[in-house]
Amino acid sequence: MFNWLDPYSQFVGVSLLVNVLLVLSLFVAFQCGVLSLASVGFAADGAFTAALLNMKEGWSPALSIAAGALAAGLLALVFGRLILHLRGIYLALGSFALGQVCVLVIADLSFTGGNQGIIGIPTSVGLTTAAVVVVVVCALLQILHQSRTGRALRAMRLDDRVAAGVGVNTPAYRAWAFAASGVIAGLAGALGAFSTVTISPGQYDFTLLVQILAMAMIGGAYHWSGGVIAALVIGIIQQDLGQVAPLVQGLLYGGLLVVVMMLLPEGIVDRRGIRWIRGHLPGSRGTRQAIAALQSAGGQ
Amino acid sequence: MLQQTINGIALGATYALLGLGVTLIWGVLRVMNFAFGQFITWGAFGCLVAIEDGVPIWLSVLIGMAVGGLLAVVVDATVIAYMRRRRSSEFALVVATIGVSYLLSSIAQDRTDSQIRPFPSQDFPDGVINLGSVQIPELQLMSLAIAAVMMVGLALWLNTTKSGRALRTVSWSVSTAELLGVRSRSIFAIAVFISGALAAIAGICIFAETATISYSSGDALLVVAFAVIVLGGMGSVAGAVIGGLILGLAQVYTTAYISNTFSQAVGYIVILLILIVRPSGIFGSQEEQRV
Repeated sequence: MFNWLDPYSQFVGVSLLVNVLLVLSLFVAFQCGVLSLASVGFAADGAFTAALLNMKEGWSPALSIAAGALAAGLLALVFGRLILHLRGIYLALGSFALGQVCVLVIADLSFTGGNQGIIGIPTSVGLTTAAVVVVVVCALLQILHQSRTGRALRAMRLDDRVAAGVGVNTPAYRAWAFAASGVIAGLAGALGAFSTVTISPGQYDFTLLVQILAMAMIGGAYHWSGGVIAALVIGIIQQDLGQVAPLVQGLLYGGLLVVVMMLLPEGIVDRRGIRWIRGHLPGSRGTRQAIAALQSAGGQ
Repeated sequence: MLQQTINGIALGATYALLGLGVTLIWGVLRVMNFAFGQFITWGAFGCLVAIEDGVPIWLSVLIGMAVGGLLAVVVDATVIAYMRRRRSSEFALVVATIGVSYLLSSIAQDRTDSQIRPFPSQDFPDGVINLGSVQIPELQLMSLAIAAVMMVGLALWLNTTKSGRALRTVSWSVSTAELLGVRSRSIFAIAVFISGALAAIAGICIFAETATISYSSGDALLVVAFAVIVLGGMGSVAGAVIGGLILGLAQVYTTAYISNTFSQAVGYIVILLILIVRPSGIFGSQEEQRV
């Protein structure tokens, strides 16, 4: 499918799509008001589970990736039960600690290769596979967005007491959203592991978290497409900049994060934006009204 | 064992300073400031630059504290004050301070070429006092003394002076305080400055002990600071002191008896355990928001 691209571009494409998945993992939890900073840790979890199952147990890559995603999801489900009773800032802090403990435990264990990590993972994930996975995840998110559950999740983000009051089972939805966030993060980590040959705990660091967070926040919590657009655009800009000094990277991500939070705390894709676009599409009511107004003005 | 306990108390006292810095901002401004780690790094670098320029050690420490404090005030006056006026959500504030932290850290990384620099511990007191079988480095005594002076000073300020009382009023209710004629903005600025200065002095004590500093040194201590206040209860001054001592002892014992690498994880594990078991911390009052 992507044979017209040179191998390097294909490799870059896969890492872009892995970032897209990580952003979606943050989005899934954030759309119902859970700011989860654990995704990077879950990604590490998925990556190491998948790589170890493939190299030590001889599982096929596809099966290992699925197992990696499920392992991260299970971890999120179990620990979600413990920390999801927290609110706001405490949840952010608790999930941050959870993610970091995941990475530190991996760095401390011997069968995961410690700080060196794992070298020599077969590269069996190409751009086509990654693209198919991303498209499937996006399609599922769109189905969720249009469903009753999706509306319930968005209501919880705006005010979870009101949502609970109108009959939304908020604790269960939070738990499953957190678990889904874990599955997607694990999937991202596992796909990444099978495309980069080598993984180490050090790559799942604060820098990666900041980058993903910047993309997810710019994308906003209303619709998944915001995060996807932000991840692709920022990723491509960074590719074009090439190997840049840490200062440039700091200005790009740190500066963007601050500016967006100050000026557009809802991100680029929010309800008003979508309504505005819908109102101005050709054939929509807004456009017809505008044309009618113009015609009547011209007739006078 | 006794030796380890003394090491732990000395480390815990500096951790308590970190906790006090964070708890002060949380108590007054209700902001979880992820840029706090940068106040540690930048303050300590300020001190380092001053020492390298031949400034006497006590003045260098004061310069470092001023750098940390001023940086905190600048961050607060630009980003956080603006977002407070716009009534941004708690999440937006947290994410913005994460952005500030990353920005400041990459500036420090750029200026130091990502190198680990030696921190001139020979300029600090480096003798050892023998008490029976126990050896106490003078550096540890200095850290302890600094921590004690800071804590007593902070307690006196909060409880006896007019501005200290004003600060406590503001932390209770900003609008009531303003009705009573308190200038909340200058009180905010004072609290933020002290918080940054505490970060800097704690960082200087710890880096003088380890004799190294790099652009990312403060990030590890940010986790420690958060662990201390989660342990002690957010916004509680006594909790920050006790939490700091417990964490210092826990970390020294883990390093001595379990493993060195595992001690990094102690801060995170403490945060997780306390949030799971008792989210209000040891001294925190129950808040409806947290559970």
